[in-house]
Amino acid sequence: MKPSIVSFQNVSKRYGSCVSLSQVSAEFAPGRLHAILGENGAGKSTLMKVLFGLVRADDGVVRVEGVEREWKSPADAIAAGLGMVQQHFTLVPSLSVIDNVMLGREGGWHLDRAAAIAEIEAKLPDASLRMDWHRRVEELSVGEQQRVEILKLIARDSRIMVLDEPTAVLVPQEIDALFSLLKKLRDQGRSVFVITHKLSEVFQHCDTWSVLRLGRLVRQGEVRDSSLEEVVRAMMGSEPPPPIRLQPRSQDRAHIELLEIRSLSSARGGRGALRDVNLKVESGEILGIAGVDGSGQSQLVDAMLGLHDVVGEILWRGDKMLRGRRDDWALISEDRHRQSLWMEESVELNAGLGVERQFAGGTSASSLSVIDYERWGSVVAKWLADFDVRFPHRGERVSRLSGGNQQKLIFARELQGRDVKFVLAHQPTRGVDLGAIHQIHQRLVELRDRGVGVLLISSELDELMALADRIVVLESGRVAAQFDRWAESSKQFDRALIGRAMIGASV
Amino acid sequence: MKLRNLFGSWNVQNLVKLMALGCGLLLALIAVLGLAMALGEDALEVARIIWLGAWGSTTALGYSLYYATPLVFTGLAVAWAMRVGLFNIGAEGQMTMGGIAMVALGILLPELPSIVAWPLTLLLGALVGAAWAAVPAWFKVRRGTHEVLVCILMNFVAYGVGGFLILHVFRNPESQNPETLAIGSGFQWPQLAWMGGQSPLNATLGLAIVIVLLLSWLSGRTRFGLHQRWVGGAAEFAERSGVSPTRHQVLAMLISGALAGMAGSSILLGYLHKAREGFAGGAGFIGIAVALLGGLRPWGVLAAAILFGGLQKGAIDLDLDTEKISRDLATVMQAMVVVAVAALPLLNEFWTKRLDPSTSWGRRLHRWLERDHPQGGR
Repeated sequence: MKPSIVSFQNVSKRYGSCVSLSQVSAEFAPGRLHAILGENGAGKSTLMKVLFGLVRADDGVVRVEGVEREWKSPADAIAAGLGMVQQHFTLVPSLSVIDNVMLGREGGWHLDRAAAIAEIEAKLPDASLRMDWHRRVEELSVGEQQRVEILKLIARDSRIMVLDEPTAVLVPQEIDALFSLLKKLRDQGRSVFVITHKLSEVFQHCDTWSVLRLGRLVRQGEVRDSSLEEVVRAMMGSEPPPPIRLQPRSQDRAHIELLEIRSLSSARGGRGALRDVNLKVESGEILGIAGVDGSGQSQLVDAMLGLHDVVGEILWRGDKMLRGRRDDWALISEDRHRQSLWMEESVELNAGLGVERQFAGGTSASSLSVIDYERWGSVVAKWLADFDVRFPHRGERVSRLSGGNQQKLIFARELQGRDVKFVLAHQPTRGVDLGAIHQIHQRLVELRDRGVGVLLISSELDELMALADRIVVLESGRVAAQFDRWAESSKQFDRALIGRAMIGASV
Repeated sequence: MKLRNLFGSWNVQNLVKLMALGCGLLLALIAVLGLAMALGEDALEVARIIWLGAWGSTTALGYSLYYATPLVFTGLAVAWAMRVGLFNIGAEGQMTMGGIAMVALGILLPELPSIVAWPLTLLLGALVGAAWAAVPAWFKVRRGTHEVLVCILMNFVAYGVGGFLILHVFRNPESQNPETLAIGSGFQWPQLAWMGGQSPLNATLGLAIVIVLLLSWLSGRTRFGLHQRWVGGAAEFAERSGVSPTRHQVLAMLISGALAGMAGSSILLGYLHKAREGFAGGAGFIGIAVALLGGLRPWGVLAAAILFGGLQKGAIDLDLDTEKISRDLATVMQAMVVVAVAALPLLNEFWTKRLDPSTSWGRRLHRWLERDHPQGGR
């Protein structure tokens, strides 16, 4: 066996009282594609940041190519042949591709772009990776921007590359392209680490897997010797729940049309500006909106909430809607830290905000009505318990809860604080751990079965494939295609077809 | 009354803030005494003079409270706007205009009896202050201009217009000073000699305390107060829940302006009984420090204003009783307190670590708070 290229020995890291890494020991072989798996907060990013010198471990030893290393800063790590692509790109949008690649290693006063291009092209594993070097980065798609980040690492001769959640922002086709690039880099002899929580990618593309849970390294294995169940069990620390099976819509109840959007267009949003969007949501169905991030999803939500001026009509049960959000809508916003929570405030306060009218005298409450905080406290305590939200004490800041618990808190508030007829859920499982994702999916299906209309917007196609009765694909602000799970005559409810529609290919 | 009721909301974070504040004030005191020593004065003597000057006798206490009264109003004004996410740096101008309006009423209708005159003057002062604040509010929501910019400009306008009104419209021709005619006797607020001795302390202090009570109730108990703070803390969340940030920001600015508009009542209606040019004397700006020191909470502002009033009185005594120290030391002391407030996040972090539930003290504290306080953090 070849010696390890990276090895950790008893690496620990604490933030205050919060243990992020605890006695992690692991060996990684050179020239392979390693998947680092784990739920949010399991410590996978922290471990990689320790390797890259962004975070200093409290304890333990990191060896790179057999040499014990203690980086003073990421600059040392880069000089020693490491490179990392952060989840949020570190590119200068107004500069060209080649300028971004050269940035930080220009060498002297004169910018010799031609030489730099020649140099990088010589280093590429094959010619298909060439880009239009003089285009500005802000004109590139997200997938192309990510490629620029990787090119930066190639230009610096990084032998060890770390990518933090690289596929979170990509569509299926881009994901395949990314991994084929990573495999080429691996075949050049580099060692590649990919942090992810998407198991399908691991099993399709990676060589090894390592699972972290609660700051500990739980298991490592070779992908070709492992089963999916084994990895899920390691990640969750328990038996994986059975997959959700959507039953055909019950015909006992008449399905009424709840929401109708007619030829909606918006001026704002650039590429995501809505263009003549038509949609209908019936009671008792989940309508999925698929699409690459920034295809008009946010504009659609904003329009439904009356936050921006739009052209077109939004009808609720056949009547034109008044501006603003209805009280019988549950809203799960995309950016929960800014749009669904007041981060500096307590769990208890957040669990009742927006539905506090019932604690201040009910429907007759005016704005000067006094809030009964005792009742607030006891009512929301029950809501939180029913939705299995875990928190140390109710005065705790909501910002200190995990992503999954924050999202469960939001569901608890939105579903129990209102008489819900319709759910508008935008990326409800983003940044949420597997256990919580399962609970959230179950909730949505339960609501559908109870006759509530659900509009589920997600960039995770797997999620929509599992939950949606119908899928509408948004692409550059327009409806590119529609798919119906239950219709026989319509286009096939097929993952690849939907994926093609997402990137604007004709179906 | 239990401690936690007094402070409205009471949890570990608040305790941490309070302890951080205590440390900050201590550091500020040490710095000021160090300065006095550097000037060649005896630090202990300086501390004694400040202490006795501020609270040593009924008259001293009265002066301190008299200096504190306008600061309560301007502090509340700044604090209220800031909790809704706005920086009202125009309290000085709002105070000036509101004050002149109150005095003008007292000059024009001198016969009014107190029962009509008092509420009417306050209402007018509040309205004019709010009107002065409405200008930055309008620019903010309609044009997107930063409120600080317009507030500062409105301060200059207020100096100009105020000066004109005092010197040319309501001027007392018999006086050598740049001051107006006197207001009618019905407009004057009584002195509080039983409490303030020979000082100009007057009943407007009671008014200030009533307003503190009112705002504390409004902010901590009502839906309106919650919505105001919500817009300040998480505007996007509020908007998506149907609470309009624009509407609440305008209302907050009007409330803030109204509070600042009444701030001159202690000086004008309770003591001078006329308006003098520059009567506001920077109270609008000191209000910013008072608001920050008071943690943007009504009772905190009251306490901070009294501290600042005491510092002002103590520094005046230092001026008289020492050779080298002038009353400008009050400014230095207030500045040190502001520095201490600015350093709060650091000290906060220090105490947060100390009181973290993983430490033994933290565990005990959390257990106590959990048992004794059903409402959690609010």
